[in-house]
Order: sequence, then C-alpha cells, then structure tokens
Amino acid sequence: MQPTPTREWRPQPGETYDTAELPPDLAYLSCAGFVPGTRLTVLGVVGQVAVISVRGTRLAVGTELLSRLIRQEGGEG
Amino acid sequence: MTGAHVYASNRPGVTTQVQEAVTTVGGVAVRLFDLPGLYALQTKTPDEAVACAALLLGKADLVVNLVDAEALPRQLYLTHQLRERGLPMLVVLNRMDAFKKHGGSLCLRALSRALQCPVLACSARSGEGVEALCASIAQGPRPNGALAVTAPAARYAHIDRILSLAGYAAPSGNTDRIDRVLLHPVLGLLLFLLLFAAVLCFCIAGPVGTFSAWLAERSIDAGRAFSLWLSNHNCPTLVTTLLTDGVITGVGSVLSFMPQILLLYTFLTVMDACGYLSRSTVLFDRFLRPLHLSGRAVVPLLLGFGCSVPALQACDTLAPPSERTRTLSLVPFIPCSAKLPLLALLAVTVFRGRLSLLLLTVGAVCILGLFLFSFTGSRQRHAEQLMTVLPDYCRPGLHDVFNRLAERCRDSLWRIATVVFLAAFVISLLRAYDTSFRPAADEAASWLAVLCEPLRPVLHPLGLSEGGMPAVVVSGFFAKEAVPAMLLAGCVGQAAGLCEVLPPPAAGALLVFTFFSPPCVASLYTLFRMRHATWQCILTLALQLFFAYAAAWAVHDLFLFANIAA
Repeated sequence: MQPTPTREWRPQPGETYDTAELPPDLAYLSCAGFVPGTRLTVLGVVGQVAVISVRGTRLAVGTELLSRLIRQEGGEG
Repeated sequence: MTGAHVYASNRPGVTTQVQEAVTTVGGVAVRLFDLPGLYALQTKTPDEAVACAALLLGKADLVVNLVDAEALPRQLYLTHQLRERGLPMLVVLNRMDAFKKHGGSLCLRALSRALQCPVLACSARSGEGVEALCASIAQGPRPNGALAVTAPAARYAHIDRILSLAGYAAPSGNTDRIDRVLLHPVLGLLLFLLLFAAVLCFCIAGPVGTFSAWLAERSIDAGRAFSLWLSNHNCPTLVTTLLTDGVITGVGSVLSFMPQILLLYTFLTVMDACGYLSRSTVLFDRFLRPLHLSGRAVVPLLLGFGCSVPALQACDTLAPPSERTRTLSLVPFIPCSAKLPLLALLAVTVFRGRLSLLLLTVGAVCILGLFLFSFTGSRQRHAEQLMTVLPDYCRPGLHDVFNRLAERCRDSLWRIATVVFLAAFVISLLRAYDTSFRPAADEAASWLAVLCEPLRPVLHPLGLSEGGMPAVVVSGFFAKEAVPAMLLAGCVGQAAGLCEVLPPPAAGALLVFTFFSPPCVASLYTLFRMRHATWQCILTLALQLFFAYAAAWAVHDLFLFANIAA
C-alpha cells in the first residue's frame, strides 16, 4: 500500500514506492528512470530533500517533487 | 588519448563546453570532440543542449559512447536512444575496475550482440583497455543496425532485457554506508562545515599562512636590498623600479601566497573528484531556499572559493534560467582563493592574528550580499525542486588532481606575471616620477598623487584616500592578487609599516571593498559571455559596486566606533 503524499509529507529511510504515471510537466523525468511501476527506495532524508535509489542510481530529489512522482494510495498517480 | 586533460560532464565543477583535439590514434589522424555529459537526448540545460546538438547535427564518423559501468541500468538509456538513430557507435564501459571490485559482473559479448554495436571495457584512471579502445577507433566505423524506436517505458523494459541477456549483476560499493554519516541531517552538515572551516583557517592562519607571510617578508627584504645595490651602481630609476617594485616585491610577494591558493584549490578538487562536493547539494538545499535557489546552486558557489571563472562556468549546469542568472549574480560574492593573500596579509600585520574578527566581518558581509542579491537577476521568486544525481564515492586519482592543480597554477602564474607585474610596475613608476617626467622629489608631486586626486573624496569615508591607497583599491579590479602586491610594493614599501599607513578601520574597509566589489577581469569576461543580457549584467555589477562601497563604509565606521586598534 502506498501512502498519500501531501505537502507536509515526509518519506522515511527504507520506504519503497512505485513510480506513478507522470504529469505532463514532469514527463521529461521519464528519461531519468521514472517510468510507471519503477520501484524506488528512500535511502535518507535531509530537510526537504530525499536521497532515493532508482534503477541503481542514487538521486537527490525534493520531497515535494517526489510526492508527485510516486503512485498515490487508491489512484493511478 | 590526446594528452590533454579536460573534465567534460554535466556535473557542476567540470567543463560544460565541447573540447576539440586533433591527434593520431593507432596511426590514424582523428579529430576528437569531447562533449559534456548527457543522460538522454532530451535536454534541459545549456551544456546538455551543446552535447545534443553536437551528437545529432555534428555528423561524426564514430560516436564513442562512454558509459559508467557502475551506473549501467540508467546510462544505457542514452545508448539506446543513440542506437535507435543508427549512429555509428562504439560503447565504452569506463570504471570497469571499480565495477568488478564491487562485485559486478557482465558479459561484454552478449551486451554487444544485444546493442548491435561493439562494446569495450576500460578504466580511464589505470589506463587498462585504452590501447584496445585506440585500436578500435583507428578501425573506423563499422556497419551496425539500429534498434527499434520506442517510448521511455518500453525503452527501459528493453534495457532490462538487454542487461538480463548480458548476465548483468549490479555492483555494491560502500557509498550507502558512507552517506549514512556524511548525509546525516545534523552530523553531515556539522562535518562539512568543520572540514571547510578547518581548511580555511589552515590556509589563512595555520602553518601555510605563516610560511606565506614569511616568504612575503623575505621578498620585500630582497627587493629593498636589491634596490640599494642598484642605486649604489647608479642604475636608472626606471630599471630599478621595474626590477625591484615590479618583479621582486610585486610579483614575489604575491607568489609567496601561492601555497595558500593551491592548498584551497587542492581541497576543492579532491572534494569534487571523490564525489563529496555533490553531497553539498543535499546538505545545503534548505539554506538556499530563502535565496530562491535549489541545492544544485551550492556547487558553483563552493567552487567560487577556488576560482570564480570555473564557478561561473558551472552555472551552465543549472536547469531553470532564473536559477542560473541568480547564481551568476551570487558567485562574485564568494571570496575566491585570489583574495586570500590580502586577508592573510592583513591578519598577520594590521590585525595581528585577530583572524576571527576578519572572518566574522567577511562572513557577515558575504551572507548579507548573498541574501540581498538573491532578489536580483530574475523576477521568479520560486526555486525549483532539487533533482540531481549523487555519484558513487571514489578514491580521487592523483593524476587527475595533479593535472587540475597544474592548470590552476598555470592560470595563476600567468595572471601574476602579466596583470600583477604590470600593475606593480606601473604604480611604482607613477609614484617615482612627477608630472614633468622627472624623478619625484616629493610623493605629493608624483603622477600617482595627481591621478589619485579625483578618487580621494570618494574613498575618504572608507579611510582609503591617503597616499597611493586609491591606486591600491583600483588595482583590485584587474586582479585581486594585485591588492597585497600594491600594498607592499607601490604604496607602503614594507609589511612592518602597513599598520601605520593603514589603521584597522581602513584595513577592514579595504578588505571588504576588495572582497565584494565586482570581480577581476577574467571573471568579468566569463560573466558577460554567460549572461546574454549585457545591460542586466552591467546593472548587477553597478549594484555590486555600490554594495561593496556601502559595506566597506559601514565596516570602517563600525571598527572606528568599536575602537579596534592595531
């Protein structure tokens, strides 16, 4: 089950999420491995930045942006 | 392959332009183009656009696709896109030694079959596989097919199938374990700040600083002794000035501060090469938000401590134009290593070891400047969310670090040999002759005094209107290293007498004005080249000059009010 990201949402290290269907303004991120269904793991969180692992690559992503990239509970993303 | 050392990637801190070299590879003359790094053919930043245009419009005979073996699942995306276009290609898996060391495995032949193009393995650091690469380039392009054009999701699915066919097993290094400490929200930040502060203090006031000050004093003594010897042998004033004030005291005193400049630069180079500098984007993102910037901007700002020119160039890697123009306005506020000699000189002479007072002053003005100027450059007040790759930690190659240092050293020496030498010589000459071109009996009648006259009322509030001080201030616009050289050579003559000519309030004002006034000629050139709106650039520089003047005035009055004595 996926949590519902909100503006104050804060991922925790060790959590895993599935990538959602990207909104049009973020479509360019599909090149970075964010294609629907891709599993990502949160490695750490510093302030409003999460360090995640996607397809074996370590990325630093703002949590607000991350909340738009992952599949939300009960929805298609 | 060419013997040249360039750092082309889209990672901040490295070259962001196409590098070209003509060389002979395996007996065949080739023209090599080294492009900035790229993850996909979709571009967001100027450096990526440059690489993309060169790939798609350049009509290369052979594309050598250099892929990091440790990040294969992600990096094969670009390879796949290039193969879809049927470009004549050779895939080179770099860092294979680290890949194998960390337990990774892969069948190159199977990968080559799946990608329908030759695949080679090499290690640029150890040189392993480079010979085979040269031989393969010399063979020229071989006919290879093209992969089917697909959408991103299908492309990644195909990459997964390719990797599975090639028996790919992912490597596992120590990066995650190290990151648990270095990217800890509190401990990580504390470690970073402590390390940076320790290096700065070591450079300015530690053994390196003391050694540099000792060297500067020796160069002044040598200049004085040589000047006396030349006078005893009836040497013309022009030659005496050229040799003593220009070469020995001017260039010599600045050269003596080279160990400090190089040490700071080494530190930044090692930080960058081992992957630690990239982590600063995560640690400092929250602090840059009030400046309407994301964490990515911290890398150009930190590189600014080394030299403003590569720091300004690194701004090309920032995606939103608003963030790029804002960072370009802020980089000149970072005290570069060329400004260290002045700080060190004033710390050991005028302020006699009260380094903390100087660092506090410079730090406070720097933060105020960064905050105020974050409102310039762009109307957009919203920083984009951070999204950046964090590379694996690796041991920095001594060869790479040495080459980058040598490059910095060459650049510094060139500036010292040209700008600093000329400035020291011209100022000394202006001081030695009067307006009727005869040796000046009285300094007040010299050319220097006459030319400085219009600036005296302006610099009076800063306490810098006496003697040749206006010339010292102006020399900083050409090269920041010239200011201590001017202080020692043209206007004061010896470090010991500095505190008499330059009381602490005036010294504080000079320090602040030099640190925060518009940057040197080389940085200005880079700034104008990178910011296409010239009028906007001029306006920012005018504002910066005003800020430096106001801050220097405030520091002068504050030091006067606090009765800070030498």
